[in-house]
Amino acid sequence: MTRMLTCNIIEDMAEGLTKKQIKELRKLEKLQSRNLEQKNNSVKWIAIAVVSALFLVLFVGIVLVAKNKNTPAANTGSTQFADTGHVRMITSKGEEATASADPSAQIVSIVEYADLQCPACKTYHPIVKELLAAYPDRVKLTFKHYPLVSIHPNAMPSALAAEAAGKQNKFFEYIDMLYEKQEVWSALPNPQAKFEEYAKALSLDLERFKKDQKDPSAEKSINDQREEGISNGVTGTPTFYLEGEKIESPVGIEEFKKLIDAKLKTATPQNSESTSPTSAPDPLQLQP
Amino acid sequence: MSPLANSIVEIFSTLTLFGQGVAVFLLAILITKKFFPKEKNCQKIAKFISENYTTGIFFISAVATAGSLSFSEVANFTPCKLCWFQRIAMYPIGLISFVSMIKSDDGVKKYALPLSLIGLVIAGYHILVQTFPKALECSDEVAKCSAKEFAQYGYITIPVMAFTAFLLIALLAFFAPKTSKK
Repeated sequence: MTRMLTCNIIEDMAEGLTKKQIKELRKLEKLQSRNLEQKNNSVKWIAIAVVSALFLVLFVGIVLVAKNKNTPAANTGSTQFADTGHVRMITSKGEEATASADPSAQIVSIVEYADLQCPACKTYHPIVKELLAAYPDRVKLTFKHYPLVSIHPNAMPSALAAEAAGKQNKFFEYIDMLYEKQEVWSALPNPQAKFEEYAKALSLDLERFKKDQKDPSAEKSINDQREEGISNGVTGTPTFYLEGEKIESPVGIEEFKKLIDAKLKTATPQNSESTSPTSAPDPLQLQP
Repeated sequence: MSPLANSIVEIFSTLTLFGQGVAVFLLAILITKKFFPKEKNCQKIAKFISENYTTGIFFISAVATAGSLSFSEVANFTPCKLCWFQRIAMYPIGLISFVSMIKSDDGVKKYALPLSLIGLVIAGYHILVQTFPKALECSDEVAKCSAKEFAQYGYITIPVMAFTAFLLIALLAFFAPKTSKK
């Protein structure tokens, strides 16, 4: 402020002075302001030093934490999957299945934690379905519930409806329907009428469907799956695990295929040898 | 809570406690200056604060920034929605006051005061949300605003820390030299 004032004064006086004189005046003025500032400098430098030290410590902390996260021990040790959820595979004929028709095929497993009212899950649903069709008998999807109950009021009722449809072996047909019509039912204060309508469309036994919707054991199972997701580190939906390893949700089907191809390549090619009838292995043991 | 997170909480809780003491002191100086303008010692202290108020604002906001980043990045507390709104108010104060400190510009008050008052209001609301979680629910599956990650000395939670920092910045802004107003 003071500096600017003197500057103006210099300019006002400048007319009668030579360039050299003006330069000298400026220099003098600069020196003066520097002297003024010097008093405050020590406080300033202490603050800068302390804050730099603090941020250095913070930076080291962030690096250390990031390193800890990347250690494989932390990754493999924490994920555990109970035998819950619904399994979906697509056969080479394009039919729905729950197990591979080809016992010698190497199977890649995907576990998905999803919320039926979640729009992101809706987006991923056809991608995953297309993926299953692209790898017939090779990719196994395990669908697990992760209802975000506090932000999605219809997440739990829809999961229960899907479970009820599952009792009549139409779980995936039903969730295909739920995702397709998500905009219709997700904002409803009571989506029950819509759920029954979809059950009817899939020609389910409506009385049984309604009874199964109130099944407390289904609700417990859904909550257990959610708890399992939390302990596996799920923080949002959908979350995918490829061969038990949490992956960043791929941006598209091509990215997904790359990840699966990488898994298929790393596996030992024992498939060709297992054709002899004497060593026909149990399909369960083939799963890595 | 991991031992690392625990020590981070302890360090910043102690700083908060100290900051609250400083806030009371600043308030006392401001009041004395206003009503007893002839008190010499008070004038001396006020002059010193006034000369260094930009540095003070920089220091407080930088410590608050480091604190909030170490909670989210090192201690792994997921920031909730209200935490993010407070960050929006706090982080710019650190950057702006840093630049004005380097440039010896006394005018940081113009930006720091409104930002800190906005932050103060959000932090106050956040404290209310935590004190009466049912009345004012703000929920998100991942990070609930009403959840207290910790409550050191029984009352120091993350929004209390933010409130203290915003209050200190606002108080310091009142010490800005009068000449900075054009």
